[in-house]
Amino acid sequence: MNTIGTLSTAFGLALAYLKQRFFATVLNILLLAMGVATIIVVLLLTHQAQQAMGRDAKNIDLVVGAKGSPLQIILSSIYQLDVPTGNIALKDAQALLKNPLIKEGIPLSMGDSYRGARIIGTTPAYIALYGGTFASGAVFTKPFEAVIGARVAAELGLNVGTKFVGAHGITQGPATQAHGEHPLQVVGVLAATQTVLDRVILVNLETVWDVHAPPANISTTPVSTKPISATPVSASAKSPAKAHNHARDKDHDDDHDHDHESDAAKKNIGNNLVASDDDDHKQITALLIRYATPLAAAILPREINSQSALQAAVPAYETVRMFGLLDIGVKAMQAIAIAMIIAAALGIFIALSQALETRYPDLAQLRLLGATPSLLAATLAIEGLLLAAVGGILGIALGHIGAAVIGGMSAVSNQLQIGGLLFLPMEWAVLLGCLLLGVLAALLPALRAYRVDISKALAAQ
Amino acid sequence: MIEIKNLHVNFTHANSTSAALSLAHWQVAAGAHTLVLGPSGSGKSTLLNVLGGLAVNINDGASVTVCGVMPYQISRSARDALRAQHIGFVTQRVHLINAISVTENLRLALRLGGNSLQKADENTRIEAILAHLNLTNKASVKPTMLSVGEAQRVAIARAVIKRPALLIADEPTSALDDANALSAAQLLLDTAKQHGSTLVVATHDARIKHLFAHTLNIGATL
Repeated sequence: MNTIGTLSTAFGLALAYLKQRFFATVLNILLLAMGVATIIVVLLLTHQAQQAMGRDAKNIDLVVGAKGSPLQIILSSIYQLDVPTGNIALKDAQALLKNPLIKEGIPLSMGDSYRGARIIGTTPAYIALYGGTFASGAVFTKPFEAVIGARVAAELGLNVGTKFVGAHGITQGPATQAHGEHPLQVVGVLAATQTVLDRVILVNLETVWDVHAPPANISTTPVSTKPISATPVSASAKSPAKAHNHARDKDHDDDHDHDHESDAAKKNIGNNLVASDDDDHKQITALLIRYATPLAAAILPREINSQSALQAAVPAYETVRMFGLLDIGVKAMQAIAIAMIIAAALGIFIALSQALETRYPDLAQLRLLGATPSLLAATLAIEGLLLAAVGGILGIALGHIGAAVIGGMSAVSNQLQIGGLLFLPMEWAVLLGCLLLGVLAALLPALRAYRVDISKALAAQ
Repeated sequence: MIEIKNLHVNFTHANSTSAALSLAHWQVAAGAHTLVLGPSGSGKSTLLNVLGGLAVNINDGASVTVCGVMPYQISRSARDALRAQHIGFVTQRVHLINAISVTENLRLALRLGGNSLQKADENTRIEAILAHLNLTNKASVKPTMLSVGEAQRVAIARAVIKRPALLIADEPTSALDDANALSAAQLLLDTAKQHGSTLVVATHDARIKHLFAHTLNIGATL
């Protein structure tokens, strides 16, 4: 019998023996699959989260927000995952942008949402930052016009021309205060970019300020106070008549204040922020900054943090810090998964060893029939390999299903567009590792099968 | 077909060695049907193991020739090939591979025997032998579903399906009643005749002695 014939016969026998002890085979496979699935889920989640965060933070060198946690500033301003630390005065932002180390600054003003999608007041530069292009319509040119991300359009069924009303608050769940008197109209739908741009609604800054302008008849309403706000509520303090009462409710945890300006005072800001008297009372939530020179990285964050009421947060550093914090959990999960896989390999070893004990008469008969020692060893090795291969492939499939389920269940993973469709090259290594463990688990039983003494085995029958 | 001279096989225990079989000279012609008689422990199974190339501890001066080959002068793999291609075994205790069907047991024997038949020809040969042994209706069942007599017949079918030059049977009737013992022995003789095989049956069962023209009494030689 040639090598192919030997392997073919060994494969057929291995399959028959696995089917013969079906229950043990299924248990071995499931045990291995669960370990592999755990590793795959961890790999997919961490990889996709890192990729998504990398894409969202690309081209942003620095984020400036209100004093508070730098990580919170990054999470809220870049990834739209957390609540902002507060607001910053527009005039402070304008002053900062005069710094020659800054090439560009993109303002963000947050506080409202529509059915879970955040409404962000900004400039067209924000769209350009992520290379956004329009699937239909065009960019906003005046207040109450909205540009929506591809995913928002798909999930909320919004199209160009659709009017909708935003609600106060940026957290998930039911909004408590709708801005019914200020409907927004979709003027543009962005093509998918696989970035944060896909899941936000963009308006100009004036829209955010106008939406929160108080009606004339409540101009004497007591001023709003922001207990958590790091910045003074300048508008209310200085100009009660113009103040907008943002009664803080549970859902309104973004700590933003919106001053109320006349139409004449409205102005676009961005990389050409121009100061005016009215800007003294305006606030924005954060400023996304691109450096003019790499030297800025060494100077600007420290300068901002030491000399102003602003907080500078470096995305690259904060993201690494965040993943560093998460790394303990990730490593723990990986260790558990590896332990499960090793336990599964031990399970295969035990199953094959036990099978071998009861299979000595078979082995003796096979040798009498002409089977070579290599064929007997190959049969055991193929059994281990088959268990490992099926367990590994099933585990990878379960891992992808698990990642898809987790991606759909968790709000954060949903925001980061985590799914189960991505296949990582590392998964080949996981599968290869499984096969190797399967062969290792079968090695000793295979050697024992190789060395079986026919006459002794026959005598023992 | 078989020639043995000056054979001494010893059993080695923990600290002692005892003689298991001694045979000064024994010869079997091709196509002959020989019964090896002797009480339990007389060395009948040892002799069959010697013929199959399975024995260890045989003396250096022994000369063993089987199917024109001296199995103890060739490599282990060559001995495996000799056994696979030219020798069919029916063991004392019937043992079929329970994980596969009766048909697959026979197909496995064919393939391990080095036959290069097409699958259709394999099936033809399997069907023919199953029909000859009245086992056609058991072709697809697992061996665990067979009676003792049926399993015995399948074991014989498995040994002869590759049409070996030498067919060896060790106590093939010891566990059977009179009727089945005679039937099994007759079956061995018939199939050996049909395929022109030399048959050597080791037994202490006197019930089948009259069926064989040649006998070797191991007990007498010890």
